[in-house]
Amino acid sequence: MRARTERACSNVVGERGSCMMEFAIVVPILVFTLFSGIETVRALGAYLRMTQISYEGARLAASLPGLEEYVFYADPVPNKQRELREKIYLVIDEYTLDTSEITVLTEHIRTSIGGEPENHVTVQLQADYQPLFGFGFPSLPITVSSTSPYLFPDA
Amino acid sequence: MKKNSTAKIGPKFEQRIENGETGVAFLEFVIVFPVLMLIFLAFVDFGRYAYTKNIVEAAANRALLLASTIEGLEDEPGAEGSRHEEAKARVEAVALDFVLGTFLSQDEGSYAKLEGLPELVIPKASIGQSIRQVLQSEPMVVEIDAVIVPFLPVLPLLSIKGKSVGFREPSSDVSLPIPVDCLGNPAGSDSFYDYCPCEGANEKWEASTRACKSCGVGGEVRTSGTSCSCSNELCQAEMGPNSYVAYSGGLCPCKCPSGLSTDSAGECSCPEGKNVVGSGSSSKCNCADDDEWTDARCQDEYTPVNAVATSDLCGCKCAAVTCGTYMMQTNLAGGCGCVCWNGNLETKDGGTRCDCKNPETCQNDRFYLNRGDCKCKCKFSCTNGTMQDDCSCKCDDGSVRTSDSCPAPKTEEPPVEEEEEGGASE
Repeated sequence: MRARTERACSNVVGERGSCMMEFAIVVPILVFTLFSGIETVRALGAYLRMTQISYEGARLAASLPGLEEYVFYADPVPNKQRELREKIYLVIDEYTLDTSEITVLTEHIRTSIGGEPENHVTVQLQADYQPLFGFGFPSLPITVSSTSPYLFPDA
Repeated sequence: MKKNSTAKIGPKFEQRIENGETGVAFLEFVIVFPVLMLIFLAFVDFGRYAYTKNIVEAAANRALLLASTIEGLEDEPGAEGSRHEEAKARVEAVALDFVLGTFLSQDEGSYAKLEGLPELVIPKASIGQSIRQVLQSEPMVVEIDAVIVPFLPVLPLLSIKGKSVGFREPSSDVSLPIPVDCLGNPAGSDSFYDYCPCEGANEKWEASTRACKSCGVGGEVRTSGTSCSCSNELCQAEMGPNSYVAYSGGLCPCKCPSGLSTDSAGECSCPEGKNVVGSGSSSKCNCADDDEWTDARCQDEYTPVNAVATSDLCGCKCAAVTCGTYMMQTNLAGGCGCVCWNGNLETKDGGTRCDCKNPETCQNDRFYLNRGDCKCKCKFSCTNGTMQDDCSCKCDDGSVRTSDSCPAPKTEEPPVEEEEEGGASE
């Protein structure tokens, strides 16, 4: 009986316990791989949802008349831009996301580069993905943005 | 030349036989195979979950995109010519068609099926707010619920929710008319839909539902404008010409005059054999052949000389007579005379009074003769003691009373334990 037990892992005399050692090495790796997979899927889900919201926000921004010309971090935020951001926050409130609080930034640029007139709006969402398992997994910063041509011509 | 049998199966297998390891591979396979199968099915189910989630999300997105632009969704629900419901149904149909175009179905036995129908949730408008204003300020939601039956037996049903949230595209037509109410008050103003005149005579304007509401009979009394008024005509239309309206505590209940009551048809009417005289609150009931019932006819019909006609019963009754002691008056059927109370009594003194046929002789004056059963009864009761045969009361303390009950026993108060002062002593 003893001989069979030994042979289950090794046929070489003096290698008893090697099986346990291998197992002890492999299990943490397997567990880490499993948790990493789960975290990746959740982070990807949050990323996709934020992408969808930014797309929805850009669509809304493109069709919102009277949107002021404005860049992401300018201060103060004009009224229509603030209204746009508040509406996007209303959309965010409808979802449950595995992220920290989302920051919404909006931008409307009218310019002419190389003779081509540009008139577009951009919605950018920033948040940190909050990992489900705390040990060792960092909170992942996620930034997504969607850009759309602004539907209203120059005033 | 005959070959050795072990040479055919090779030296490795020969060594395994020597080591007693035959069948080990098969045993390992048997152990590992179910585990591998479970992992395989888990991967398959995860894939199906992700794919189904993707489908319902895509369907919700597509439906929302349509909802953000479809015409008619901003029409007021319930208004004449409104296309709101039609537009909403079309959005939901698009989501349903999208989902049913995949492997998802609505069949109960399906491994991947829809739970209910896709729904477009539109935020509720508050009073004075048009649906157009709501759609500009609140997002719409498209929700689709699905469930898949996992192949992995240990897993429960996997519920999947597809959701898409977004705004109605703002209209660039800034010259759209602002909604006004029936009196021309613009939406958003304080008086928007506060009041509209009602066309019906028996209707009042109800601000909470923004509609005219029938007052009904006995409706509330209000000032004119949003009024329901008390009116005899309303009651008489409902409960017949003999009813009237009675103002009471802000209400207008319809009533029948005294003597009349509601019949099976709900109208005020007189009891059978009586006719209504007058109308409204002054109507009353008279006997149908009142003039024909006279005292003479009653005495003739019922024989007793003291029978008289009565308008209450529209017939005859006995005139009130004075009967003697222990006697009572009979009715028409009894001849309108006086008879004794019961069979234990008999008439005495030429029929002017009644008394016991066989009266019991009482022991003493503490008894009286009861004319109901002609037996002797004690004049007083004996409480808190025992009644003796001679109508005396024997009390618990041994005393005897002959006219009243024994006094109530005194309730002994529990002795008050005096607290020992000085605490524990030796």
